[in-house]
Amino acid sequence: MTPLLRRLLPFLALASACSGSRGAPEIRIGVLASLTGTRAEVSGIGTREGAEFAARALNDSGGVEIAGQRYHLVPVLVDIGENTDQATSAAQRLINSPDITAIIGPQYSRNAIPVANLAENAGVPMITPMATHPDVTAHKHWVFRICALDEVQARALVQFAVDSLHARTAAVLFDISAAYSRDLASAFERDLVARGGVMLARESYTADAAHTFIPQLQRIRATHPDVVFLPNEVVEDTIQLREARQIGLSMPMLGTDLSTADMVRKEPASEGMYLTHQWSPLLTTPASQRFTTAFRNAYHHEPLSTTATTYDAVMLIADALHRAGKSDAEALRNALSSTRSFPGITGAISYGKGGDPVKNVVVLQVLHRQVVVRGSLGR
Amino acid sequence: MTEVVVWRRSLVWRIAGSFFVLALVVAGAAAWASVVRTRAALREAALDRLETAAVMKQYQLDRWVTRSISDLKVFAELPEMRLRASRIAADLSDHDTNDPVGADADLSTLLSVLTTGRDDFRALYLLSARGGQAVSSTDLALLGAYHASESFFLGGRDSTTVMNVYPSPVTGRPTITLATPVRSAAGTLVGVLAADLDLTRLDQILSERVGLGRTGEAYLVDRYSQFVTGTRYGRPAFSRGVHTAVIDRAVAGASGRGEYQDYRGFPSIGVFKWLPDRQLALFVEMQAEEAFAPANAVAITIALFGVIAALAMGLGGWWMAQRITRPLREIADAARKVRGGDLGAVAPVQSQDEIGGLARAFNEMTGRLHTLYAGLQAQITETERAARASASSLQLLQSILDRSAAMVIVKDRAGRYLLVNHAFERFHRVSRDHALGRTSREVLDPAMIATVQDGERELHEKGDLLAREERVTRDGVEHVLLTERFPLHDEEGHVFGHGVVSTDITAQLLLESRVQQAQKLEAVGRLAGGIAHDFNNLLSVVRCNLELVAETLDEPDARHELLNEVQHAVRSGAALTRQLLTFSRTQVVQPRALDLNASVESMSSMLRRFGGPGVTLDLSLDADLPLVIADGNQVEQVLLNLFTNAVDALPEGGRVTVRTIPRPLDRDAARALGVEPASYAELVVTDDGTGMDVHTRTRLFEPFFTTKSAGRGSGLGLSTVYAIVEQAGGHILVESEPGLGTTITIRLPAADLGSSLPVAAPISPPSLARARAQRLLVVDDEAPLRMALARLLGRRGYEVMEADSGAVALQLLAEPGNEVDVVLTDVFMPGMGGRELAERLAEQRPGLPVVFMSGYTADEVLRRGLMDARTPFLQKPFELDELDRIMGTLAQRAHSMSGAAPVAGA
Repeated sequence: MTPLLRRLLPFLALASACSGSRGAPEIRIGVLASLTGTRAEVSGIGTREGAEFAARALNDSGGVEIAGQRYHLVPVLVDIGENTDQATSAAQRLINSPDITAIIGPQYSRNAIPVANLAENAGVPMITPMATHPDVTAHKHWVFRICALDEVQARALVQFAVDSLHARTAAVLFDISAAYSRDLASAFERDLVARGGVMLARESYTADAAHTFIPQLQRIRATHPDVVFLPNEVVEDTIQLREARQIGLSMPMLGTDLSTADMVRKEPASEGMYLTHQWSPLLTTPASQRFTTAFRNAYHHEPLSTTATTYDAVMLIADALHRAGKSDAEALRNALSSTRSFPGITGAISYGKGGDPVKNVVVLQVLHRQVVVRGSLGR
Repeated sequence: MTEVVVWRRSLVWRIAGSFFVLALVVAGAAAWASVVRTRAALREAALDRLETAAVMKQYQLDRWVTRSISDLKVFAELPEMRLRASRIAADLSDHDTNDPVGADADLSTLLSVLTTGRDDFRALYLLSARGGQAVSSTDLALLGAYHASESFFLGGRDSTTVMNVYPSPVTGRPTITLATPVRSAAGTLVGVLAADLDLTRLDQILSERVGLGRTGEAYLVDRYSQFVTGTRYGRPAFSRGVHTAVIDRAVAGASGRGEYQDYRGFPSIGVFKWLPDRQLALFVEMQAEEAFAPANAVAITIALFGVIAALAMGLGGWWMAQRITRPLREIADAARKVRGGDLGAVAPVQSQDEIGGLARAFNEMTGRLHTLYAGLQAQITETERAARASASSLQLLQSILDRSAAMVIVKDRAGRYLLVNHAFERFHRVSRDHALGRTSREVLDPAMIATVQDGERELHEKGDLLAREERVTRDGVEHVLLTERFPLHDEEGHVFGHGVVSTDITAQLLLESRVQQAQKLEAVGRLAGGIAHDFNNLLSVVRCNLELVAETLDEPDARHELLNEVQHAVRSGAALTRQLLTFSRTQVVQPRALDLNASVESMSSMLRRFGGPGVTLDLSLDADLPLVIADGNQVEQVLLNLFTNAVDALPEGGRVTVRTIPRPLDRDAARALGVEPASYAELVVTDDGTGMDVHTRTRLFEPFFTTKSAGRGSGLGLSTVYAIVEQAGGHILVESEPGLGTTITIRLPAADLGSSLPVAAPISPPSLARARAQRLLVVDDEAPLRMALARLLGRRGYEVMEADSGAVALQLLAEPGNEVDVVLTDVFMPGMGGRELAERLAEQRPGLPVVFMSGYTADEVLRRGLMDARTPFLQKPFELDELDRIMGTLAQRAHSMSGAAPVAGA
C-alpha cells in the first residue's frame, strides 16, 4: 500500500460507509483518533478499525432500530494528530456539526480531559474507550468511558507485584507532563504503601525533551527496588526498557495499557515485563474469542485492546439509541446512563452515578517474546 | 350584492368608480416604484456603511493582536526576564528533575508589573524550556501545569507563535494564546513566555456600534462555527455552534455582502469577511427593517397622497357623469312609457350633441312603431286563425293514421321524422315524442338502420313510389315488411321529404306457407290413398292365392318356406299401405283426453330397448302438464317416429332427451307462429346428433323424402307425424344445425276439461269361436280377388257364391234356393256400390248381415258416407282368421237376438 493510499484510507472507508447507506437515514458518530503521528500505529489505526468493524457489523444486520425506523450508523473519523490543541480543535468542529449524534474518543487522557470539558459544555454525549484518568468523567453529566480507571490498573499491579512477585519495594519513572502518568505513579505508590511496601525512587521527565532516561534509571538502580513501574507511552517505555537492561537493571518491569503488548514484545529488552491491559485477544471468554476470530478474518491481524473498547463504545451507543427510541442528545445520554450489564467484548458494562463502569483489567507478561495472560484483576 | 347591482345599473357610479380606481392604481404604481428605487439606494448606502465598519473592526482587531505580539516580544527580551528565566532553567537542569520549582518571587513581580494596565493580557506566564511547565504566572491557577503537548509551547520554543482563537485545553473556552522564546544572554532557550489574551477586548472592539444604527451588530465566528466572545460561558443558546447559510459560507473562507437571514432568523443586511490571519469570520450586519425604514415612510406618504387624489378624481367623475346621464335618463323614461304601450311618448331634445341626436332618433322610431303596430295587429289575428285550423286538421290526420295497422312515417329532407303513427311506435318500441325531430340513426334499432337507409337511397335514385319487401330483425326475430316509400312535395312542387307506409306481413307469409304445405300434403295424400287402395286389392289377390297354393302342397315340402317369405312380404306391403292411408287421413282416430306424460312413460322402456346401449334416453316430464285431446295410438306413433329419427341421427351413440312442458301461448306469440292462441302441451325430443342442413330442414315433412339409406326408411315417418299433429290441432317446431343436434317440438292443444270428450270404444277381445260352415255371397268387381277369395273360403268350409256387382248380387239372391247367411261385399264398385247393396238388401232381405271389405281404410269409407258405422269392416288384405272372427260374432248375435231362428238362417 502506498503512503498516499494509506493516508486516504480513512476517507475512503468513510465515503464507502456513506454510499453504502444510501436509502436508509444515517446516525453519524464522531470518532476522534490519532491517525497520524507516533500514536497512529499503537492507537489510531486500532481505533479506526474497531469503529468501522462495529459499524459494518451493525449495518450488515440492518442498522440501528430507533422507534421502528432503521438507521445506518456512520462513524465520522477525525484525525487529532499529536497535540492536545489539535484534539480540542477537532472535537470543537465535531461538536459544532449539527449532524453528529455522539463522540467516541479521544483515547489518551491528556486529550480526553479537555475534549470532555467541551462535550460537557456543549451537551454532546461522549464515550472514551481508553482514557483512564479520573478527571475525564469527574463531575460530568455527558461523558462516559468503556475502560477501567487508573486506580484499578494501579491496584491490580500492586496486588500482582505484592502477591505474585512478593515485591516489597518499588521505583517509578514517569512523564510528569502527562496527567495519566502522573496519576498512575501516585496511585501506585498509595496502594503500595497501603499494602506495607516502600516507594524507593520517583523519577520523572517531560515527553517534549526526553531522548534518554539513563540519569533517572541510574538513580533508580542505586535504590535497588524489587520492581520498577513505567506508566508511560510505548515509545518511551521501549527506550526505558532498553536503557534499563543496558545499565544492568534486572528486576521485573511493570507497564500499563499505554504500552501495547504487541508492540512491547517486539523489543528484546521487554522480556519478562508485566503489563495491565483493558482487554487482550488472548482472553478466553466466548465473546472475546468470537470477536477476535471475526476480526482476524476481516483484517488479517490481531485486534488491539483499543479496537475492542472502541467496538464496545459503538455497540453501546447503538444499544442506547435503540433503548432511547429517539436520537436526540438528551435521550441518548439518559439511555447511556441507565445502561445495566451491557454485554461488551471487554466485559459487562453498567453505569451507576457517573460515567465509569466497574471493570477488570487483565495482567499480561511478555515471555519468550510472546504475550501470556497472568491474571484478571479488579476491585 | 346590492353594490354590484348599483355598479352595473348606474353609469354615474361606473364613471366615478373608474376614475377612482384609475387614480388609485397610478398612485400605487408610483408608491411601489419609489419604494423599489429608495430601497435599492438605501441598501447600497447601508452596505457601504457596514463595509466601512467591518474594515475598521478588522483593522482594530489586527492592531490589537499585533500590538500584543510586539509587546510580548519586548517582554521576552527584557534583560531581567532573560536573567530570571536563565536562572530557573539552570536550577532545573542542576536537579535534573522536573519537580516543580518554588515560585520565583521576583519573576512573579516582573510579570505583574508588565501586565499592569493591560487588561487584555488575561494571563502572562513563563513556561520551562523542557516540559512546558508554567514556572511563573500572573494567573496562579495555571502555575505548575505542563504544556508539553501543546502547539503554542512546541512552536514558541523556536519563534513567536500565535494560537488564533481555539478551545483552550485548560479552560475549554475560545482563547488566543501568544508564545515567544526567551533566550539567555548566550542565546540558548531558557523558557517560553506565553500570554492568553482576554477576549473581552475583542468584545469591546465588536460592540462599538459606530455607524451601525439601532439594530446593528458585529460578531466573530471561529472556524469551528463557535461564537467568539470573552464572556465566561459564551452564548449558551449556541453551545453546539451557530449555522446559517451565510455563516457556513464565511467559515468556509468566503467574504461578501447582501441581504440574508441572520442567526436569529431576522431578515438582515450585512457584510461578512473571512479573516485568514485570525482564522475568524467577521460579521457586521443590521436588520433589514431598520435599514429600509425610510423607504417604507416614503411609500406610506405617496400612498396617502394617492388615496386623496383618487377620492378627488372620483368626486369629479361623479359630477361629470351626472351631467351626461340626465338627458339619457329622460330618454329612458320615454322608452319605458313606450314599453308600457304609450306609443305617443316623446323624449325631450335638449342639445345638438350626440345625446340630442339620440333623442331625435328615438322620437322618429316611436312614430314609425305607431303605424306599424296597427298593421301587425290585423296580420296576427289572421295567422292565429290559420294556425288553429291547421292544428286541428293535423290532429285529425294523426288520429286516423294511429288506427292504421301499417306504420306511417313522414320524414323531411334531412331524414328527420316529421310524423309517425302508433303502429310505428309499437313496432320500433319508441315513443312518438322521442322519434320526432330525430333521424333513423338516433331512433331505430341499429340492426334496422342499414335496411332503412338502403330503401331511402333507392327512393332517392328512383324519385318515385318505391315498394319493396324488407327483412329486418327485431329482438332476434325476422320480420318481413312490405314497405312503400314515396316523395312528398310542397305546393311549389319541391320535394320536402318522403312518406313511408310499411306493413308487417310476417304472420301473413307464415300462414300462406302453411296453407301451401297443407295443400301439398293433401294432394299427395289423396294420390297415396288411391294407390294404396288398388295396391291393397292386389295384395289381397296375392294373399288368397298364396294360401291356396300352400294348401296344394304336402306338409313336408321345401316350398312352404318360399311361400312364407312371400307371405311375409305381403304383410309388410299391407303395413306400408296402411301407413300411407293414415298419412292421407284415412285411418280411424279416436281422440280423447290423454296424459302425454303417461304415454311417454309407458313407452320409455320400449324406446330404451330400441335405442340400444349407445343411446341414453333422458326424460324430463313436467308434472303440471295439461291433458291433450289426441289418439293414444297416434301419439305413440309420433313419439316412436321422432325417437327413431333421433336415434338414426346418432350413429356413434349419444343422448336423446324427451321433455314435456306446459306452454300457454298468448295472442302475440300465437300470431307470430300463425297458430291459434291457446294453452298447449309441448313434447320435445332433442338429440345431440348430426343435425340437419337447410335443405333437409325445408323438406322434412314431405312424404317419401328420406335421408336414410334405401330400405331403412319409408320417408313417411315425419309426414305421418305432421299429419297426426295437424289433425289434432297442434303444430310442430324444428330447430337444427349441422353438427349441433336437432330439437323437434310438438305442441298439442290442452284439453278443455269442461267439454265432453269422446270416449274410446272398449276393444273387444277377439272371439275364438270358429265359424261354422256358412253360406257366403262374395261381391267384388275385381275378378281375380273375388275368385281367389271364393276358392279360399270354400276350402275353409264356407259355401261361397260370387257376384261381380251389386246388381248381380241382388239378382242372385232373388233367385229361389240361393240362400246365404252373410254377404261379404266390396265398398267401391262400378254401378251399385257396397252401401247401396246393403240398403237394398235391408229392404229385400231384412236381417241378412252384410260385411264390408275395402282397399281403403274404414275411416275413409265412413267419411265418404259409403258405410254405416255399425257395419263390420275388413280392410284388404285381411287375414282369413279375421273373417272367421266376424262370422263367429255375427252368428252369436243372430243366435242371441232371434233365439232359435238365427239371422244367418233367415
